[in-house]
Amino acid sequence: MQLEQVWRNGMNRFLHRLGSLQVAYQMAGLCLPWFSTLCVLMMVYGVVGGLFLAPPDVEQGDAFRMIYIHVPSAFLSLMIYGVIFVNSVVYLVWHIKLADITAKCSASVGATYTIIALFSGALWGKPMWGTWWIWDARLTSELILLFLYMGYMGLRNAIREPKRAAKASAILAVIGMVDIPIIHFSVEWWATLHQGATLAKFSKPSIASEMLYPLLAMLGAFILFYVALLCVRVRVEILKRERKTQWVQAGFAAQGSGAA
Amino acid sequence: MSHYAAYIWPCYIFAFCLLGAQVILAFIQWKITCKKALKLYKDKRAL
Repeated sequence: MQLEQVWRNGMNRFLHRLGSLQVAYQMAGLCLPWFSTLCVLMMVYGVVGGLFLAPPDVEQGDAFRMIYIHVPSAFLSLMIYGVIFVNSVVYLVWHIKLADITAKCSASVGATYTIIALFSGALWGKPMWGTWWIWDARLTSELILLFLYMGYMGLRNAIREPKRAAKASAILAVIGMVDIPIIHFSVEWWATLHQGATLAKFSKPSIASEMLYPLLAMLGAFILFYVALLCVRVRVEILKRERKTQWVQAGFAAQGSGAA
Repeated sequence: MSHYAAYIWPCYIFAFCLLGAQVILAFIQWKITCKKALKLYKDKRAL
């Protein structure tokens, strides 16, 4: 019983500390150079490997090389919405400011990845399907995801009072989550032109290892890009909200001039 | 026209332009926010 109490207190202290904007600001600053460097390295390997080292596909020829942009961006468009959903729930239940900031800062990156996924998909669709666009279940649900991201950002900017804006956009994000399983399972639920999972089948690989490694590198690079950008955006948002607080002022005082 | 010229390069260029724009935007936001926070700090100190 006593051990449980100690554990609970420890966890509470840890979560409380993690939720502190000052700690988040400092941690984001510490992690940023590592994430950025790793992202650049993985992206260079992914692009070189994908464009020049991987052999052409038997059926698709060189056109398959769009997989190195399309699949990671499509994956990230879903993953980031998941991050927004989780943070929105956390904000609605526990009113943790950092969760709201994370959700807010993720939205534009998620929308960017969705645009890239749609654009690269159209470019891939033309040589393979003979059309840029079709109102297929996967494509349409991904387009709805873009509208959800835009709606989320629009709603946030439309409401002046920050707390109301945060609450309204969090509710929208929770409702919009219904689109994510639809996107993922659309290729199984409906007869679509879009192919099934490529990456999610590690037990029975549907892609050669020479093609797979650059794809995994690009996926890692895109995730790191998101995390690195999130670090910068979170720092900007925290600095905006907390610039009048003592710890920010003390940071400027300690540095004399320049950034906090 | 080859697949590279027609589809692959436009796809990669578009993607990296958008990602680059996100980086530039974040950098500009960072600079502006720092400038504002620093001005506030200097104004407070002047008082």
